[in-house]
Amino acid sequence: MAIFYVRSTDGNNVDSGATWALAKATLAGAFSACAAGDTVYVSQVHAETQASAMNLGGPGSSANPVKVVCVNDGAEPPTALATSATITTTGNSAFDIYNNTFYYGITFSCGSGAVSAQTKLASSGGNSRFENCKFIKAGTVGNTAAFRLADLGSGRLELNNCTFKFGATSDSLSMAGAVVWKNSVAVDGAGSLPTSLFYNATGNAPVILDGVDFSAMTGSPTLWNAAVLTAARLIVYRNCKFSSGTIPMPTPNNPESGEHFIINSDSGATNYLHSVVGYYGRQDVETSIVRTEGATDGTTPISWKIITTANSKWAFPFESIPMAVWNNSTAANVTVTVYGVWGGGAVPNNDEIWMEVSYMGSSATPIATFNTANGTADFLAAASAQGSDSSTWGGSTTKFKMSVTLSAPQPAMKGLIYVTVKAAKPSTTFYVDPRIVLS
Amino acid sequence: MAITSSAVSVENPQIDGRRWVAEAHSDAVGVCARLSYLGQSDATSTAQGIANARAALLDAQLADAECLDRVQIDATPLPLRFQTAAQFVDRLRSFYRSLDREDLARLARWITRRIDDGTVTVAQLRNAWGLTVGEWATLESKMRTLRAQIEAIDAAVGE
Repeated sequence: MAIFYVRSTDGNNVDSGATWALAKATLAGAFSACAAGDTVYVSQVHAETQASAMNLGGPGSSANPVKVVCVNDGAEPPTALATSATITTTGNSAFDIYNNTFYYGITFSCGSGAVSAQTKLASSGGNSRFENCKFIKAGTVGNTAAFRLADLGSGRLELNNCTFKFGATSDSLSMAGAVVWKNSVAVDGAGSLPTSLFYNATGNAPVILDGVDFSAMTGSPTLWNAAVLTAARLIVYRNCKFSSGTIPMPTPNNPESGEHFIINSDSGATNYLHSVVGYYGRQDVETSIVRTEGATDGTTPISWKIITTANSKWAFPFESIPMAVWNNSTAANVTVTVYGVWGGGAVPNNDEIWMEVSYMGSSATPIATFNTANGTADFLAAASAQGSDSSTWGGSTTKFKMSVTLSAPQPAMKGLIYVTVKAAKPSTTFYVDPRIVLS
Repeated sequence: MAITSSAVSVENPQIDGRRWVAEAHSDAVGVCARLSYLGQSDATSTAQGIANARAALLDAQLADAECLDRVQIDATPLPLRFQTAAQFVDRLRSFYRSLDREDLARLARWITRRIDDGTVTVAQLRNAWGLTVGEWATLESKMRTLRAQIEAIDAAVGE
């Protein structure tokens, strides 16, 4: 695996790139010389500018990606990393950065003036990874695809400690392939703040946002454009930070969008929030209307607030995040009970809200046994009322409980029992206690 | 066409004092967007102001989505819920400008098929693109080339 050196201040692409003294002048110049698996060291003083579209498609492969690393050029081979190299296009000149490549410590600045030039990352499939990089869309004309991330749908892009800066409020990140964005400040607040940060055009691969600080997005923003959540994909926020009033995930307008998760992410000092949002409804953590003796993390009692949309129905209900409880009982009947409250005036029927229980009913393998007896038996079966209850809740009016006995088969192995609450009554709010009671 | 009502409900205070705020935005057909967030203020007027400000944004987003949805189906996009036909064509132009590769070819195929089936006229498109007759002829020729290429790819089979 060869090493190439790049330094704009004294480099020349006719040189070999084998030493700092013989450095290439541009990254593209290095790419034209190197092969899969090679390493390209970019000087900390590198400042490359091009007034035409720039294609950076290194020769990396999945098995042997190319590594492009910004370093201090005081040693050869280098001994210290750096993060100050810049690669810039001017005018209406786009960036296309693709193929299996690892980038470290480089700022990519795209376009200048009244243009909408875009940057594409991991645009031709493969696996690309950027660490400690910054991406600037300097053009001031809005582009909902200002940055196209893994936009062919077949690639995977990982961004670690990477920040985007925008040139217009109508700019957005557009993505199609798999994107993992972690450990980052999302947006440079010195630039324009996009009205919708994420604009998903055609994608159907997962987007994982892990430890990303979105707090520079102020003004009660809606981070995703709900209207374009039209393709099946999984979106997960985990341990992210928002500004006050942020809507991380609006209700999708399309069922194919699937369900999206916001785990332990907030603008405030909380450590118990978790939400799921989908076409059929959403589930959030409630800390006021909670059941005495119900779920708590030891400090904060919680319940799950489920709000169905007008689209929820028996055949396509809203489904909660599965709740779980450890079960030590085998070869004996186990009754599973989940408590709830709502404002319906009477206990809800079991075609309006019910639970599906999954447990290990086989002693031979951990294959799940599903028990749906708490709901109606099938589409044609008549509904019946869920059980009434007298628990103490912090609000709402009509208490109920959902119970089912696991008897045929009985639990055959110790392990977790999962309960998924399904809510079908449209445009309705239920509160359920995620603490499962076994008896 | 546009959002005509933005209703908010401010729920009971949570343990940290914030309240869940639910927005329901409706147009002439019915509720078209629902959003929820934890609000700092307990004033309904504050939540209502935020919802009203969001309505204009949602109008544009819903129209964008409708446009993207309709071009996924090889048929007339009419009737439209969130925009006029002229606004739809303007959005086509905007999307066409920002796309490339297969996405662009597929949109070129969709546009030329709508020309061929009479859904949209060349004059309507030419006006939306702001092109002269000659300039449009050149662009349409490129679109038809892209269409032929993407149709060839779609028709490709193995051995």
